[in-house]
Amino acid sequence: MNEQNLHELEEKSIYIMREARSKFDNLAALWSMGKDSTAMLGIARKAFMGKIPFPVIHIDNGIDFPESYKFRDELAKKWGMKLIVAKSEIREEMSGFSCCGSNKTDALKRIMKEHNFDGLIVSIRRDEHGIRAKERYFSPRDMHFKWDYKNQPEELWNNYSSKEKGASHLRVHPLLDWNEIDIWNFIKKNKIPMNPLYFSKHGYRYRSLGCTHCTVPIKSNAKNIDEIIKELRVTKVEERSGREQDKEKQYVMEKLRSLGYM
Amino acid sequence: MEKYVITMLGEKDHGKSTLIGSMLIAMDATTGDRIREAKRYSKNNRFEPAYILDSFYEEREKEMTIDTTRAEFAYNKSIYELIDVPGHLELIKNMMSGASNAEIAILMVSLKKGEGFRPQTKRHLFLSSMLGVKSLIVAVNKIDLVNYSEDEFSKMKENVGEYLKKIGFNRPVEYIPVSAYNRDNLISHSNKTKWYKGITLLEAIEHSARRMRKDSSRNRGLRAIIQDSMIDGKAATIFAYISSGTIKTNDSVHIEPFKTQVKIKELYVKGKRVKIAKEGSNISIRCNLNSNLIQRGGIIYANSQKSAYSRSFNAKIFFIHGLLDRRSEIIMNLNNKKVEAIISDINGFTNPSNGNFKAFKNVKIVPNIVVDVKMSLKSPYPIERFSEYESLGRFTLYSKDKFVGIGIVK
Repeated sequence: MNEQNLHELEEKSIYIMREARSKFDNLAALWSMGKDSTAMLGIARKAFMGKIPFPVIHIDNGIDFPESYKFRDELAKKWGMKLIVAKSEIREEMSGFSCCGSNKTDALKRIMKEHNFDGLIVSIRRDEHGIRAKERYFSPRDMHFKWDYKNQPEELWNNYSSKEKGASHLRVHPLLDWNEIDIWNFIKKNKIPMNPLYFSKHGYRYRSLGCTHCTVPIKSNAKNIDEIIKELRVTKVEERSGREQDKEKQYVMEKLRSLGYM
Repeated sequence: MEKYVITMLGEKDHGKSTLIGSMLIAMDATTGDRIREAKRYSKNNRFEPAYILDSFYEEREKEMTIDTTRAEFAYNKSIYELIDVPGHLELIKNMMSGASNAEIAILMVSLKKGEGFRPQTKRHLFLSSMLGVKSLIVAVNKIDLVNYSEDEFSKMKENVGEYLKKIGFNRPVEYIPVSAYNRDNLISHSNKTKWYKGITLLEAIEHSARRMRKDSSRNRGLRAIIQDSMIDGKAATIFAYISSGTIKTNDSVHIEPFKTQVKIKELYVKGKRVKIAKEGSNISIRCNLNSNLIQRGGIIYANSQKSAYSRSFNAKIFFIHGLLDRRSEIIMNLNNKKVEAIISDINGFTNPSNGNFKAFKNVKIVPNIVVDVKMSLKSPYPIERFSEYESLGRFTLYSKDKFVGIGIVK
């Protein structure tokens, strides 16, 4: 395992989360019960003396996997999270662009307003998608939650943006530098509890988790973290290849993110 | 396994994104899906490796990089992260945001007719040392468009070398003739430049990384920057980042500008109790202290070292927006603390596009020149020289809430 690199990634994420706690009056984090946001919470516990000092939001459209709900409730209890479940109404068709863009983003907007959150930790990584690779560590969203990606603020050295006029909140991205294998190495080393859907059952496993309607499993026999890492070292398939919303139309991720999606 | 961060520098269209795209493909560090996606959007049947980086619709339409991005490859037990930056002058804010994260830089300079060693190329070079670049690789690009001419390469090498000498760039520099698009001399020697006996780009990257490793073993005094604190029962926990030196349990330290003495009772790194913490660590310090006294932006020093308190100091600033004058008020972001300052004197300026310094007192500070100034703070604050404590001796500048430039303490 790549000890030095993992150590540096953790340190940077801790620095970013501490900056976030210090800069915002009302910080929260998104948790999808997936590997990245669960790892992020594990890092937060290291940063803040074993506690998660901000509420954790699950945007729940009611169609997540049963395994995910169970995992959520168990870990929330074990780690003493302040869990906020934001139920989203499914008004639009239940998959792809309109589902993520409208149902999920609307629920997020509502819960952010209700609680007056001005900082939101989101566990995206640069290597997931070309559009996500364009993000800052601290990234403002306007009153309509829009990402003005053509005019992002400066971000020099380790100085990150504070809340500015015209911003509803800032997105904070502590995992931007991590890649998929780093995440698994961290989970293994720190024995972070994990959603069972990532591990192979009857020859299939989920590599990236969304909701039941638009996530498909991959063919895999990886039953534990070591086997997953081994599999990832040789694969040439994109991590999010099982996620419908990424590929249905041209530049759909760009549109989704500019409208407030994660 | 260590990670090294490398930024691209250079004028628009000189091939920065193309170089990264080609390196990722050559090093097998991108997925088939990404390459297929880039191919699908490439125009006129000419595959654009740059599209692996330039993901925005607008970037592909206008054929230019708008904002910075990164991608990495692994080689010989190291990870190399390449930062792409835009070359347009109007996008220099985005270029600085990317380049400020790197210690190694690759300057792209094109041999294509009409491109050449441009003012913007020089500006990037001039700024790179202010931003923290310590090692430079000059990729003399588009060698294929000048018939792989040794003569053209040598002329460019001389031009860039002269400029670097003029601006006092005293770090190691390597020059390599490349075609980023055709991958000549990127990871293996091209048979079209048999006259070239030097190293490939990949080798140059490795050499630079090796030098960084040696460089980082310097022993310097303790400087830890306070980010935040948390009250937990009776004890206070201070969160700080060690920017240089080491700290140990039972050390006595002083925290400035609060003039407070503290004994380190308990020390934590990544949530685990430790006896010693080193440079680059985010620490938690437990102590019996009224945490109201300790604020963000404070600096922790070893008791054996005095802090360099100062109300005024000399600085070099690069300004990107608006107009400044002697007596202009400005906000400095120093160690994540906003401090009020005045430009109390102007001593001269350098125009990066030619590298000439002019001693000139009554100059108005206009964008895109580097000005030597004297800054005065409203209240004294610990000030360090950029040459001694790099991360403490640099700052960003704001006027009316708008980012207007960067500076370093001389």
